[in-house]
Amino acid sequence: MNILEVENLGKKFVLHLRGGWHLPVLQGVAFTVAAGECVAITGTSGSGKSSLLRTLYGNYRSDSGTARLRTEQGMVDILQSSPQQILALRRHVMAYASQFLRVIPRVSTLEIVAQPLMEQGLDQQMAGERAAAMLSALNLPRHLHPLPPATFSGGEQQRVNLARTFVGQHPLVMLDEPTASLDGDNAAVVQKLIMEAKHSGRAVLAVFHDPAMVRQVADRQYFIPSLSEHSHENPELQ
Amino acid sequence: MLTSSSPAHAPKPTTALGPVLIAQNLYFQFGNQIVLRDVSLEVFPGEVLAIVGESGSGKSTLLNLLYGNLTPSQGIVQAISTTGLQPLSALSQQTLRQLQRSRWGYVCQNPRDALRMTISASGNIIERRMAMGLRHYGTLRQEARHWLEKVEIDPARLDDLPETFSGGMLQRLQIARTLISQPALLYLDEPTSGLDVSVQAALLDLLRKLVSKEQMAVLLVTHDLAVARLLAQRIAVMRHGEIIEAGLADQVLDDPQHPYTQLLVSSVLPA
Repeated sequence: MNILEVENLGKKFVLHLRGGWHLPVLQGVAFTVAAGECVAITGTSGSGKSSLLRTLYGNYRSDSGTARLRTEQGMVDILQSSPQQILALRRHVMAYASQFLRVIPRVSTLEIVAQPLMEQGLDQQMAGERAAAMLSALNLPRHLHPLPPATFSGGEQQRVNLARTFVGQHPLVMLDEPTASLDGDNAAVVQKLIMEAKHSGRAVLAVFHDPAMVRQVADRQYFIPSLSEHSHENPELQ
Repeated sequence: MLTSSSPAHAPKPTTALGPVLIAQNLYFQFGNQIVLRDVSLEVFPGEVLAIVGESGSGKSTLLNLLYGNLTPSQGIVQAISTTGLQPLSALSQQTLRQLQRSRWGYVCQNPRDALRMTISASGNIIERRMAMGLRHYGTLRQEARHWLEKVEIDPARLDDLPETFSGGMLQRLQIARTLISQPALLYLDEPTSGLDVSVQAALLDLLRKLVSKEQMAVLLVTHDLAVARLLAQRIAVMRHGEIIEAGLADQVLDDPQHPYTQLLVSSVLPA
């Protein structure tokens, strides 16, 4: 059973401040991710791996294609969804961890991680307990939970980010270089979280910087097709 | 425990609540000058819609039209009232005031414009509750104390005049005074500009919590993209009286489509 079905996805940036420069980033992207499966996105640096995740999360707009996501109401095309629909998908169906945590002043680590659960309708106490357990699993001890993560190290912030992403048990989890700033022990925890997600029938789509992680957790790899030469032309500049 | 062994959360059926406010094809003119051109938007319960743009783009005029303080030259504003979705133009002046007082709240940029500077902080906070017919002094005072604490003002200041408050405290007092009636629709006009950054952070944090807890619908006018990102789920970008781009807040800020939005986003100085 596919959780995600991507077909012919294309994305380009039009840089109006650079005279309308067209910067294609994705073209003809097509793959599926099934329940219980981890698919690793691979490709050379700059091939659009992060942009692909952001487009699927609704953070970037797309120019072509479809990305159908399985929901209780059937398959929904993320690329055609309204902002309200995207927000609902983010609450219940898809989670995403960027490479860096966006820190909000005055908001505690516990609250950051509990928030997705509260948005799913859990009460504060239950959400707090689950968030604390997830943080502890990622080796963030309890005395850090009341603190805003602004002063945390890069690795600690990334673990807060991952706790927030995994805690909601979304059917689709998207991860952008989840272990890039983590030491071996914490990378092993992330590996365990991915395996648990797979075993519970969820789907994981990830970009890994570490080839060992790909071998250990990914069932398949999807190599992002390179952009054809003509797509680099900039008609507006010629 | 890493994760519970239960399967993925069954998605809750999304509550299909309709918009609390709908604006369709609004135009507004001062004499020959067109201030707003073909503006349409909707606001849903539990969401913050930020209207961003530079000063003079028509943001505040739009907010005043949506609040019923101004009447559009063309177009229609509809809002949920006690009798369902109604065009504001169909309401009597009295019914509109009633709607504004009982179901809406308006926080303006300068708290001195909204507060009564000659009556105590507690008097300011409970004014709306008294207008709603509550008279029990002890209960009202208890409520005033509760709201002062909510906006992080020392309850010992309950009987002080607003004159003795700092700018940031005045703004928090205005927010307490507005939110006490638990409005379904909240209008925020540059609520944190002109405040110190530390006060701004505290105030934004407060607003964020109150909004998500009370399932309010919020229209937030701001020129500050960081404020919009922090509070809003959706953003509409205004320029020369038009909405030139609208969408999911993080999408508009991270992948802006319109040349002007790209300019706005790229002009922000990183801290």
